[in-house]
Amino acid sequence: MKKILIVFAALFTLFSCNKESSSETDLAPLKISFQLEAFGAPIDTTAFYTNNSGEKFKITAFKFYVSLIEAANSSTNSRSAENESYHLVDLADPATHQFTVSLKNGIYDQLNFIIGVDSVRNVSGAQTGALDPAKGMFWTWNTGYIFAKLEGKSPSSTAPFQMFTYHIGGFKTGENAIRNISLPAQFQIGKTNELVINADVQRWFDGVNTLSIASKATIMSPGGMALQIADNYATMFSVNKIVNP
Amino acid sequence: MRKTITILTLLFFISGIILFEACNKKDIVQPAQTTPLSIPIPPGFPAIQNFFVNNPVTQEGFDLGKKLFYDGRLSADGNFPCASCHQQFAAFATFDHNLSHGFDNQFTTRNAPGLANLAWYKEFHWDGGINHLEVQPLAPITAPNEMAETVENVIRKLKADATYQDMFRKAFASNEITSQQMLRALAQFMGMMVSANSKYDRVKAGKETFTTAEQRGYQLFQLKCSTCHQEPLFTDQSYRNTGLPIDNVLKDMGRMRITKKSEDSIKFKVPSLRNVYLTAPYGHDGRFYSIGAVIDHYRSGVINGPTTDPLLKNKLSIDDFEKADLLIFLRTLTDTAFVNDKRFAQN
Ligand code: HEC
Ligand code: HEC
Repeated sequence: MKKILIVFAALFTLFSCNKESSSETDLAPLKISFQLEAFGAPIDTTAFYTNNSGEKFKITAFKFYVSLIEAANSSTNSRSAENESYHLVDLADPATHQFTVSLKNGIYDQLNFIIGVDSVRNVSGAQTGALDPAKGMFWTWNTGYIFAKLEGKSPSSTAPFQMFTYHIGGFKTGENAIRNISLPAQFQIGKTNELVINADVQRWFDGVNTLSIASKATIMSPGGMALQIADNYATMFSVNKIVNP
Repeated sequence: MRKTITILTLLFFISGIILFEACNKKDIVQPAQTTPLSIPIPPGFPAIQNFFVNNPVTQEGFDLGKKLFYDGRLSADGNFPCASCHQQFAAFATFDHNLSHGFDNQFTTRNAPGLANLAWYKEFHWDGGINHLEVQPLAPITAPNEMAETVENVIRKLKADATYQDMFRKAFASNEITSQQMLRALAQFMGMMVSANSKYDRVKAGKETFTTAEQRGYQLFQLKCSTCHQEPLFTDQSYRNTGLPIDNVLKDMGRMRITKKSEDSIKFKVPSLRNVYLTAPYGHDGRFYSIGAVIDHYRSGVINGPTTDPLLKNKLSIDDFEKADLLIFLRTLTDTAFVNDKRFAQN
């Protein structure tokens, strides 16, 4: 009788949810923080900045999706991707400037992510969490996510109230504004506490392409100029700090 | 001893089940108390789109979707529920309006189509800009000339209502009310709106026969119309320019607004003709007040531009007798059971 009970207990532990618990022990948290900057200093929404085209401007809104976060090791080719990896970083909400991801223990030399939302989530109906359409990052009349937004005011703008509005997105062939970002960074999941990443809005104007507010104050649909702006902001990230204990 | 072994084996199986359930906790489990429904596939219809793979239709979800469809609180001032523009007696189009009324005395810029057999549509709206039934309601809810609301605010109103709290809990087994659940409930309700019980369908099923005039009209229809208005949905879901002169106020570029390709200029989705006798007026901007006027356009109004459909470039030759027969045939597409179906009516 006792024997049977022991066998029973052994079987019980054997069949408990070991699949999940073992994979969970491989994972460790990493904090990722974004410092939203303009011309190398934290964004001040009351300040006027001047881009390389000589246009003065003020920032009223700045948001972007950071998705499909992955740690990679270029020499061993090992990778670990976050599950359900969608984060909306919003200048107006400091709580969104940092978040913690769960990745597999190991040594890595790259942090990869995309700016935007992968095409699958653009065609699969109503999403939730960071992708909730209530966040205002969704085109309702031409289905698709707005990947990044920059809004502000500039005396150079010819739009009403001197506003400029850049809503960048697009996932279809020919309009694909999803940009892969790969940042070199030596870090160890299980040891490194935090990666601090800078994102500088100047690159929207003065990147691989030049965006002049006077010549284009409004972009609110995929394709065309949106692709050039995406190329610009794809260069706005740099690793500021790797925090190890 | 035999008895204890039996008991232990039993215990073993029971605990196995418990463990299995525990390990599966993360999966979306249908709450036990929901009643599954399925979208009926009428004979001859193709398979539905994959809109419901993550959103199984249940009686509870359907009931919630119906309440939402008829609830003015989805609009800014409470006056414009979905049903204000999509009226059941008009096969869910707007009765007798070329353009529909929305918030603050504004009009929509297009004619509200009837709603039926949406589960078969690849894309929605006259320009096909919307790619999934679940996200369609976001367009009218947030359009300033329709319901003029924000999704955030609608969810806030729903959360404050005890009846909704209860209905969302029953439909989605969660204590939270999210926009995803609201949109999925609306998709369930609209997906169930299947119209396939017209005289045409009964004739196809061998239960009734066409009159000779209806039969002549049907043959003409197959000859002149069904390439675009393809059976059984009565649309091939393509975008076409039927040679309508562009309206200088609305300046609607149709499909080109979505694709930005000049070859899509002033093309609009081929509308279904099911219940067409109930959905007047006609065309993407409701410019035709009768079906006869649409047929007259095909006979003599087609304007040739770079994107005018090759099938219509030379106009359609239809004499007055044929026109009368076509009209008689189109009448057989009226599904009175659908427009009187209590399941889709306001409670
Ligand atoms: C103010 C009037 C109005 C209101 C309110 C309204 N609609 Fe519509 N609906 C329209 C018009 C107009 C169109 C055509 C839009 C287009 O093609 O650009 C349409 C199109 C649709 C379509 C697409 C049909 C097809 O065949 O492509 C669906 C589905 C729909 N509406 C559902 C809804 C739902 C659900 C609601 C409530 C959340 C709603 N509508 C509220 C006027 C309205
Ligand atoms: C080349 C494709 C094509 C052919 C052929 C065609 N149609 Fe159409 N039909 C359309 C399109 C596209 C529309 C929408 C036009 C618009 O408003 O821009 C339409 C609209 C209609 C409408 C208005 C429906 C509504 O709900 O607004 C009716 C009625 C109609 N067609 C009947 C017919 C009949 C009858 C025939 C044959 C005599 C026919 N059509 C042939 C493409 C076609």
